[in-house]
Amino acid sequence: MKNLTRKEELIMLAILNLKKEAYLISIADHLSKITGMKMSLTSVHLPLNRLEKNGMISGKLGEATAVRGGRRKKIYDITRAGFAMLDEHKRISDLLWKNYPTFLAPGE
Amino acid sequence: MAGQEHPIKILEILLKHIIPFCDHEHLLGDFEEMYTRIARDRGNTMALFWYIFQILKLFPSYFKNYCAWSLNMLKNYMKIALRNLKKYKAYSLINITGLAIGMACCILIIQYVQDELSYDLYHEKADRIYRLVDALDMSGPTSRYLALSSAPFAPALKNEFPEVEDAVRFFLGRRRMVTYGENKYYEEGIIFADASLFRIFTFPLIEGDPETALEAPHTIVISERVALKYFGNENPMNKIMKINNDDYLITGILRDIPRNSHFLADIFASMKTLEQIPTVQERFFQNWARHEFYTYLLLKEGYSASGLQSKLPEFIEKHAAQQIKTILGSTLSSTLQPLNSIHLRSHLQHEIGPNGDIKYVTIFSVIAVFILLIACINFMNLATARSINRSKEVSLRKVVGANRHQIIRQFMGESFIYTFFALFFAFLFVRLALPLFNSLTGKEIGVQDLGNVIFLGAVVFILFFVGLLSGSYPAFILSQHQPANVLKGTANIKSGRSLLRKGLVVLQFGISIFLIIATGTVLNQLDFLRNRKLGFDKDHVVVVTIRENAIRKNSEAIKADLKQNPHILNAAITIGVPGGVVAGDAIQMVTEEGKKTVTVRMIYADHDYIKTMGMEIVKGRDFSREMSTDENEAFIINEAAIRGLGLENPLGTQVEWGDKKGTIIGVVKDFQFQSLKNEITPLFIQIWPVNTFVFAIRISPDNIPDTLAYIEKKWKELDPAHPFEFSFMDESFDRLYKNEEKLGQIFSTFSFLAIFIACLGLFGLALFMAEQRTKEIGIRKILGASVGRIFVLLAKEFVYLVLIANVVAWPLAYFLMRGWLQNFAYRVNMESWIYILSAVIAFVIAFITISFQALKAALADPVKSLRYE
Repeated sequence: MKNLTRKEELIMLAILNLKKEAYLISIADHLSKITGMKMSLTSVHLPLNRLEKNGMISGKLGEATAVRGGRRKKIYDITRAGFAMLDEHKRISDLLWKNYPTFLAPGE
Repeated sequence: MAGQEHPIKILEILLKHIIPFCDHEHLLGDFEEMYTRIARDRGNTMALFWYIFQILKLFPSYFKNYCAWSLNMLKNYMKIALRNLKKYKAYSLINITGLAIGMACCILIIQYVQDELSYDLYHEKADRIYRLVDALDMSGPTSRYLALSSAPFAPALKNEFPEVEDAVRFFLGRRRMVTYGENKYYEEGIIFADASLFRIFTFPLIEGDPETALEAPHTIVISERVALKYFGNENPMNKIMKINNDDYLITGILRDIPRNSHFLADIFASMKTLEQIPTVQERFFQNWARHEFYTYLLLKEGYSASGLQSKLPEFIEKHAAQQIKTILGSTLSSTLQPLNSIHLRSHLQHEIGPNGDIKYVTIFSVIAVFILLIACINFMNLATARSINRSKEVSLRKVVGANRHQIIRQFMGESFIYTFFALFFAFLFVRLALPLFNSLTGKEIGVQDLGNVIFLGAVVFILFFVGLLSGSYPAFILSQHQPANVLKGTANIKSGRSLLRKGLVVLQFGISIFLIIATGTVLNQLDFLRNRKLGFDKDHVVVVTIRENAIRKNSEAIKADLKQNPHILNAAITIGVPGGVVAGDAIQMVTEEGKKTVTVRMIYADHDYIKTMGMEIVKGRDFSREMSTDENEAFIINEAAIRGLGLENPLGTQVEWGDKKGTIIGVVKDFQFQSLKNEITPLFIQIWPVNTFVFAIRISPDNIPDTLAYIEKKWKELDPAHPFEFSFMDESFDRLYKNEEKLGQIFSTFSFLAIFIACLGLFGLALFMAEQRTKEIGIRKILGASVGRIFVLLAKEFVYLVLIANVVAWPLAYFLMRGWLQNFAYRVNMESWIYILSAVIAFVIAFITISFQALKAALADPVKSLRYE
């Protein structure tokens, strides 16, 4: 995998934030809350699947809960390759963001 | 809200199937969690909409992923199936022919069964119509079960019981001459019926008012057929028709009664016609003991027949019992018989018309299933036997990713393709065999009958039954191949399970042998019935119906006149010849203990009856003209009467019959006056010319046409008004066994088909075996095996199977056929030669089938067979 898309990056970071509670719905909720935009399940599910296929994250079935009709959650975690990828992204981003002025309010 | 916050089960199942990934579980869980959340926040309806919307969103990808691929694969499957079909022509031919014949039999038999079961169902109120039938003396040697009842029942039942909505009586007019202008024919289906007829049965009138059509005396309603026959283009309404010598006004035209009715009638005449004749009124309509009427009751909706049934004994006690006791000397019990069960389940004396038999419906159905089974087994056997040829294909498919389900689906699909082909040919066969089948069963099934919904449903069912049954096992076997072993060439493939295949061959031949034995037994019994000593000479007796009273009165002179011709040996007038009408009545025997009333069968005849029929007097003497008392005071009984009535010394016993007092003057050797299905019951013969209906004329076997011409000429002089009609007594007697004769023909036909299909399969298997063992045979021959040895090697296996099949089929056939023979009062023993013969037939046919292949393989040049690759 060459690079992460913006969405993939967000999802991976959300997984990090959610620690052991990262599954499809919680990720979508978390992102919705932070970005303030409604994230549909589908729009999360597809990149999530792609990430898993590329080995950035790994999913494993967690414990069952009654609210889900007794079905288990698939809890995601960042893999070693995933961390490496995130590191790389952060490095590039930091380099590029370095000279950006924090507040540049127009008309001030 | 709790408990409702889960998605609807059906939707969930649907979702589960269209989610395109293997791991449904957590996704379904996610969907459910979202559903719950939406339900909580925005209500159940919204949640439901959301859920359905999610499913709809999934559809496009579902079709893309699943159906498109399946379609591609389907094309491939079709291609492979058709290639195989073309490549192995012999197998395909065997399979498809076998299946097609099997399915054709099934289709025909479904038609037959459907027709039999449809009897009388067209009446709108069919489920509420019951026939009142009578049993006289429920137990004992003189008991009789009649489809008839007496006339006063219908009105009385209607008056007394609120649950009887309506009632109708039928009186059979039998065969009468009907005249309109120049047109003059005998009509069989004349029934006198009450005006309530059209309120009970669904017989739509084309013209006339059903409420009043049969109200007045001397009114008739005729069928379209009769209308056309007598009136052509004229409108028959309000015209006058003559039946015998009486005038009748036509008040209605009836649509022809459907063929699937337990009675057929062309002319309904009003019952009032009979009721208004004073003597008849007294003799029939007020008499509870004259069993001359068919009574049908229409029950009110919501009332059960059993309710009414339980009240009948009391009713009979109140009205009828006394009269029946005095007149017939017997007890009466009546039963309500549902209309729908009459055709198949009623076998009483004096049925209104010939009925079917539920047994034959069952036998037919079982045979159909048998034949279809044999054809399916052919398919299974050949497919599994050939699985070795397909193993490489299956393995390759598996290697490139096919799972077991797909392989199973492929082979099931293939069997369906074969089945479709077979179905096409089956319809072709049905079309060709329909006339033959109709003559075999006496039905009139046409091509147009093949279009109805139930029937098409049944055909679809057969298609799936055959497709699944014959496809499932081969699919199961074929999908089992281990690809790694097969492709490496190390697999030790046995072609299918040969033990199971052998078992199936045994089953096929078992069924075939059973059918052969059944055929043999039926034909043997028929032969026995035809050739049994009947106690009279049934051949060369001409029977002419008496239609003019003058003939009856002048019978003595006519007989003398007829006997002028040297070829006419004897003649007599009688109520009916054996196999035809026999009366039944009560008589009183005067014994030391007093008078005893018994009901017996009775023949009214004249002096010459016993001589003409060729019966034998064993005790006493025949009627004689020298004894002037014979005419009014003599009875001759049969041997069964001696046994049945306990008359140790019958000669001279005093007998009273109505006003007539007489003695028993002779005993005639038992003769078969009814079908051999019935045992011979006590019978009294007496001279009573008034009540005779036929002229029986014994002629010599030489020069029959001239004799007949002579009789016709004489008869025309005597009775110019009526067309001359005659029958031979042996014909009418043989007609009693028409059902059994049909059964015999049906068994022969189907057992032939069964064994034919089984042999097709065996031929296919032998072909396959010989092919498989080409190399082995080549090597054996090189090492010095003779043709004979190789032949034995190949043939022996199948021969064993056929022998085992015999062992299986024999006991089954023995028990079932013994059960069938119990129907006959006089029957053949189960003879062992039938069994041996059936074994020999099966064996020889199987042997010939195999030998062809075995011989070909044994004679093949080993050089060629070893150069095979």
